[in-house]
Amino acid sequence: MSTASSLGIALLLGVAFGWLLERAGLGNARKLVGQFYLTDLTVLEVLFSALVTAMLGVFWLDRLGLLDLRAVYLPETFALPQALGGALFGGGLVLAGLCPGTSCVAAATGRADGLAVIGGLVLGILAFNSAFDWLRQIYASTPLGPLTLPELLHVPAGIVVGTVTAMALGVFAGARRLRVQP
Amino acid sequence: MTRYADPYLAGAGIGVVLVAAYVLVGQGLGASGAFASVTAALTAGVVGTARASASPAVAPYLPNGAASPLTDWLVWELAGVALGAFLSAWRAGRLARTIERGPGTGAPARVMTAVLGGALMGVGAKFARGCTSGQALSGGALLSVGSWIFIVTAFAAAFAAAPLARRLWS
Amino acid sequence: MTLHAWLLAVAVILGGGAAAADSLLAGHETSAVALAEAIVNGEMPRVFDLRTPAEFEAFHVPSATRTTVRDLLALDLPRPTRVVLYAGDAGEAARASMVLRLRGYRDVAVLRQGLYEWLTRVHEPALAVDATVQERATFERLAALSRYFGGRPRLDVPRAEMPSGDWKAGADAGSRPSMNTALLVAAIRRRGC
Repeated sequence: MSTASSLGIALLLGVAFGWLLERAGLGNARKLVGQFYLTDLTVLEVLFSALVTAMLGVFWLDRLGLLDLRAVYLPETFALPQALGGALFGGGLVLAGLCPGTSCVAAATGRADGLAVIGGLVLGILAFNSAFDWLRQIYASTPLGPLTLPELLHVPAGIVVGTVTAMALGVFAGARRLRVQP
Repeated sequence: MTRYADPYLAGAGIGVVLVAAYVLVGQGLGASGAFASVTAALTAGVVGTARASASPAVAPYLPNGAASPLTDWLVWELAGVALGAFLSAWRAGRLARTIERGPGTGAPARVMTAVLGGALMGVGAKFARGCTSGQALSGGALLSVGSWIFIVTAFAAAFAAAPLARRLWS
Repeated sequence: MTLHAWLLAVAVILGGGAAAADSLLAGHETSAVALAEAIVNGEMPRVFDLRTPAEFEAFHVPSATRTTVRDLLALDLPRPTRVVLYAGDAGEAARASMVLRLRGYRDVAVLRQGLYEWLTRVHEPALAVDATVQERATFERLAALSRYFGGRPRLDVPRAEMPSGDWKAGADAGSRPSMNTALLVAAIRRRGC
């Protein structure tokens, strides 16, 4: 596929992604942050239904021979830095009320706080780059290569897929209950 | 103003978009990578590509010593996100020049904490090689171990930090 | 039904189906070493290679025949026949074994990690420079198998270059041994078998 069509596809997919994020209300920091005070569970509902949909789609397309998983990029696992990064990210998320993707949604719909988060992201990346020499050891530590849960747990992929689906449905049931009793 | 969409329907829709990404271009959606790419370009612009390429943190984003956000898949995707969000908000009557903040928080405080939070996320996303879009969502759907580590630690940290930030939002 | 009910139904069917496909209908796993020993012992398992003709030509498990999932739909063997399958990726092998199981074949096994394990443990077993006593003992056994099939055991391999893989258990839809396999096969062909 040519670069031009690949970038065109990127744009179109992005438009769909951004549209849906805004539709769900995730461009609004107050709504998003409500997740962590359990007053608004949209984040969990959207994130996990998207994850489960994509996971099931990938599993079955692969099994039906319609998708070659070997051609799909699987990010590599770096256990320690990703755990550390996740913790920092989560802390920042609660302060900012928006994540990198949703900050663009917010900014595009007129919210100046979206722009502020974007500014902060750039500053954070600059700080990381400047301090890279000190951070490098942690950054590159515990490399496990492209590793999936089925491989790690020695469990067939379909079983992991079914379990994750069940877990997500459980979370949704819990979310429903929380919605009903405010 | 239109009501927000059903979160499960929106989520399922995002999932379909993600599968389309895997099928059409062999990779998932992302966001923080685009920021890293643009930051690298800005860095190169300020200190020159030679110095920028000398930094091992920045060099990966400068193939052949040139800043390339314009040919970066994630940058185009993020541009699309902004466009799609704008169109959706426009149609729904939700465009508003405002600052979303807690009722008791002044605009300056909100902006400062937004920048600070963004900076923390920027650092975190670099360590984690992604953010909620790239790791939690896209990597998570592929059952990548690192992505699930990110999901667990990010949500745990956010829930843990929430009480400390309560005054910001209520 | 409401929208949520529909989404729930789809999730349950697809998620439950995934778990079922990989537990009830999946063939069981076997290791390349077990397969090699079965061949040496004259047990005559029917080995099927599901990859492309070019890949098959380059290298295949001795005694394997090439086939496709479509051909397996028409395969007619006595149902208790021992069948061993391997493919370019675990998903393909899983599909093929599902087809045979549905058609009534009772003894269907899939080679974990496909050809990669055969290449790195039977065809060219490697002994690390700093091998333990147990590793040496295993290597003796593998070297004998390797010589039977005209392979080349390798000695004094630096620990960092020792092949690793999921030799123990579990289907792994995420593993990508096919990339390593292609490199290994290319290296073998360059050296000449």
